[in-house]
Amino acid sequence: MANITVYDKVSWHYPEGKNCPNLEAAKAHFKTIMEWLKENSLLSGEGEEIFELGIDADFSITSSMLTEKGNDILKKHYSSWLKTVDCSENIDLKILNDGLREYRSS
Amino acid sequence: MIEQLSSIASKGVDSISESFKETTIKDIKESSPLQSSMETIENTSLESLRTQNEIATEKVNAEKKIEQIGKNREDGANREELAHEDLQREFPEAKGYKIEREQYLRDKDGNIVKDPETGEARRIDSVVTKEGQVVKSVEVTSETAPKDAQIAKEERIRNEGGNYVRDRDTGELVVMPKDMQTEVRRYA
Repeated sequence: MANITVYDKVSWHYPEGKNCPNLEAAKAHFKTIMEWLKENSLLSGEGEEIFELGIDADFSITSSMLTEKGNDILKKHYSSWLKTVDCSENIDLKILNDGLREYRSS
Repeated sequence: MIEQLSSIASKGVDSISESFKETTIKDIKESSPLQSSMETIENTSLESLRTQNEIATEKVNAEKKIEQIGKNREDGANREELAHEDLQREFPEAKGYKIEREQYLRDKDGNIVKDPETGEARRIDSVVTKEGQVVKSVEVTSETAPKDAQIAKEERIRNEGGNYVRDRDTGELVVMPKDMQTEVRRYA
C-alpha cells in the first residue's frame, strides 16, 4: 500500500475549520509554502505536476509531492512553522529557511 | 449685620447649600491651569490605556487565529485518520484491497482533468482499488461542511473523461467505473 503523509489540506481550514473567513484566506499559506518548496527544489515529479495546477479547494500537501529532503524538512518544521501563520498573506518563512540551512549544513 | 444674617437665615438652609455649590463649581471651573492639567493627565492616561487595550486585544486575537490554524489541521488530520481506519476495516489489504489517499482524477492518458466550469482539478480524499479498478471513492469531511460544489465539480470532470487515478506504487492507471459516485463521510 502506498502510505503517504498528508501534511496539510486547504479544506481542513475552509470550510471545515474555524476562524478562517473564506477560501482565499485558507489558501494563503499553501501558496507561500508551495512557492518556497519549488524555489528550493524540494518538489518531487508529482509535486511539480500539482504545482502547475495551482492551489484550489481540493489542494493538499502530501509526502508524495516532496523530495526526500523536502519531507525531512516538513516533518521536522511544518508544525512549528504553522504556529507562526494566520489566515493572511503576511507569512514569515524564517523557520523553514532556518530548517533548510540546518539541513544543508548537516 | 444682624439684618444680613437674618436675611440669609430667612432664605433657608437649602438655598444656602445651593449657593455654596454654585460658588464651588464656578471656582473650580475658573481654576483652569490645575483643572486643565488634570484633564490632560486623565485624557492621556485614558487614551493610552485604550490604545494599550486595543493592542493587547489585537495580539490575543492574532494568537487565537494562529492557534486555530494548528487546531484546524489537527482536527482535519484526525477525521481522515478515523476514516482511513474505517476503510482499512472494510477493505482489508489481506483481501487485495489498496487504499490510495489524495488522488487526482485523470484521463486515459494520465493527464489531470480540469473542470470546464471552474478550471480546477479534483483530488479525492481516498480511493480503494482492487485488481485494477476503483471499488470505493470517499470524501472525508466535518459534520457540517458543505460538499455539494466539490461533488458537482467531480461530476463535470468525470463527464470530461476524468475516470482514472494513478497507482503510486506501479504508476499504472486504475479505472473508476462510470456509475461510481464518491461517498461523503462525515466525522466530528
